[in-house]
Amino acid sequence: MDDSSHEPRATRRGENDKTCEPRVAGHVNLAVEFAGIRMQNPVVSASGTFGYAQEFEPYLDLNRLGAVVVKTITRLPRPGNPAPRIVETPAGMLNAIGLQNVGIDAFIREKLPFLRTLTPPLIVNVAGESVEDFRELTKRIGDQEGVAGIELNVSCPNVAGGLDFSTDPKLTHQVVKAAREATRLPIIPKLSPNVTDINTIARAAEDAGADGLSLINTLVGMAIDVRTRRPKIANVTGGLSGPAIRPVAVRMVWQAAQAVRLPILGMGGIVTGEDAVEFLLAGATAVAVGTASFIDPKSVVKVIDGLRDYCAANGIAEVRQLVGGAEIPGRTAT
Amino acid sequence: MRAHVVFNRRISAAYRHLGIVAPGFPRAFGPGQFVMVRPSFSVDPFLPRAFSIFRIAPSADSAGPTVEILYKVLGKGTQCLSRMEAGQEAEILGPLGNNFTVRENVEAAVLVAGGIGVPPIAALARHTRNPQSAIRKCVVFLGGKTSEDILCVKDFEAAGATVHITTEDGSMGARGLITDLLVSFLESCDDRAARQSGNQEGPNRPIAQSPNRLHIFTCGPPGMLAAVSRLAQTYGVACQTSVEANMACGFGACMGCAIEARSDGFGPNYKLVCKDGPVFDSRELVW
Repeated sequence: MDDSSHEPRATRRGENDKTCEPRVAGHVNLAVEFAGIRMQNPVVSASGTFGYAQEFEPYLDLNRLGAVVVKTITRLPRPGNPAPRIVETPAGMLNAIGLQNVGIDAFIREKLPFLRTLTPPLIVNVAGESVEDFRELTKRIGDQEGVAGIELNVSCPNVAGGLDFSTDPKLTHQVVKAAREATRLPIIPKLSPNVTDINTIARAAEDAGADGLSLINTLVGMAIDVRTRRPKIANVTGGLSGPAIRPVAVRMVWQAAQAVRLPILGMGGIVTGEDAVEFLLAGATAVAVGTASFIDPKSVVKVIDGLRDYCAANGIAEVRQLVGGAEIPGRTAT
Repeated sequence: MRAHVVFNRRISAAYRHLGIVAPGFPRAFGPGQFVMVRPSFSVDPFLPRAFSIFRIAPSADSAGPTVEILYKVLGKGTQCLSRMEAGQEAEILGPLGNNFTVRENVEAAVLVAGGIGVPPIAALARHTRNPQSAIRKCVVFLGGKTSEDILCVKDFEAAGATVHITTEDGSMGARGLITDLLVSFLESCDDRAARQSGNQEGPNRPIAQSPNRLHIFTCGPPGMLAAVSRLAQTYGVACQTSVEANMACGFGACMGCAIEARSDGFGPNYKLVCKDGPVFDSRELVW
């Protein structure tokens, strides 16, 4: 099915700024449990699009999020890639930021204290250049107070070797196993869509002891300036995100949901509550709002409100009822 | 923040003057600060665009102040914006970023703007008119390819500034590049007596006393900014430059608007145009 483009567009995005206010109306229970993490609602920030949350404090109530997922942390600080790093593409954007971050020491010292003051569970995203990096990062983050889960970025397309861990099932297995041994916190590998068969990778992560899966990271893309004949971003290729990739993301969530028993955090181009519903119907237990937060810093709470409105309008008392609810004519989910 | 268009005037074939009423938008801003603007309900173009604030005018009613920007119709985003009409909804975020800062001991401001780089410079010229400003003299250099690219001349004159104009085709002012006139001006400021008396701080500071008297503020295309920055260094004049970059969010989240700054030797050093800028001391950047 196509999205509901026959509906008036104004109903597809928050009709007014009041959508950012908490609502009392309706008897919708939005609470979910994802990978052993209890959330007041299934909508979280996507890593890499929400900084360390503090950047968004002026614009929304951070305590309304289902969980806070912060930007990738590496062992050492990374300066990031040369400019230009981003370019707009049809209904989306390409980015090659290059995992610019302050490094784990400064994260623990400077960013974590603020994050601990927030009430939603905190999921810290880490990326290593080797299996041992992942082991060490997971151990150190896992030892910190106030962390609810660890997302493993095994799928960054914009750093050397960044994709390797999620395009080879053996490496996926090794990384997840190392992380599993290093902490008792929930481990959530974030997988790449740049693979032939997502199910093989998803199963490798499950076998190695992952507690959930994040799907999807960005799709590798390229844009060329036809006047200068040069790539529009300095890294030549970048990760495509935004509404342009949503159908790919929904398809991969749907596939993986049938291949593994792990709960899925679905993401890719979510802008509205109804976009989130699409992912839940495809089999995601929770969803992340990513690039939309750039164009409107209130996006995460707008999606929460939109999701609640959808449930209320459709007589859905528990948001969990939506998970995996897609009806495929002539087929039964296996 | 939800807002709506009050006017979207055509200045010339390529340039527009847009006014957006935004309830709750701050009335005050620093010259150089910017806003992110996009039409409501658009996924294509998807990203908002960054525009320097030209002016913020008080509203006649309680609808909120009118944020004014000047823009050049260049690509998909500005084409889309140019089709917006009064009454249509838009989203606006701001004021964002830092602003030009005028040190107390600066007596003469040298304002250098190329093409659509003029709005923050015009805002600064207006700002220097306020009674608290120490600036006694404002010299403006405007450059463009043709006369169409020369904007805001009346605004600068109203701010009491002397305006020098160059166009590449000679259709307005002197034919040539803006830096040609700027060189002549800086030469004329060169305090040779001071240099001859040995009262100078170093070989790059021929205007020994001037760094405290003179200050260049500039915005325009990258080539022009690099040239102005080099001249500032040659003549030992402080220079603040407002730069542009592809930007997705405008508030430091996407880290897309990186610009290379001088490094302390440990690998590259990137600054974010949206948060660390858009105004930088020209010596801070790699040109």
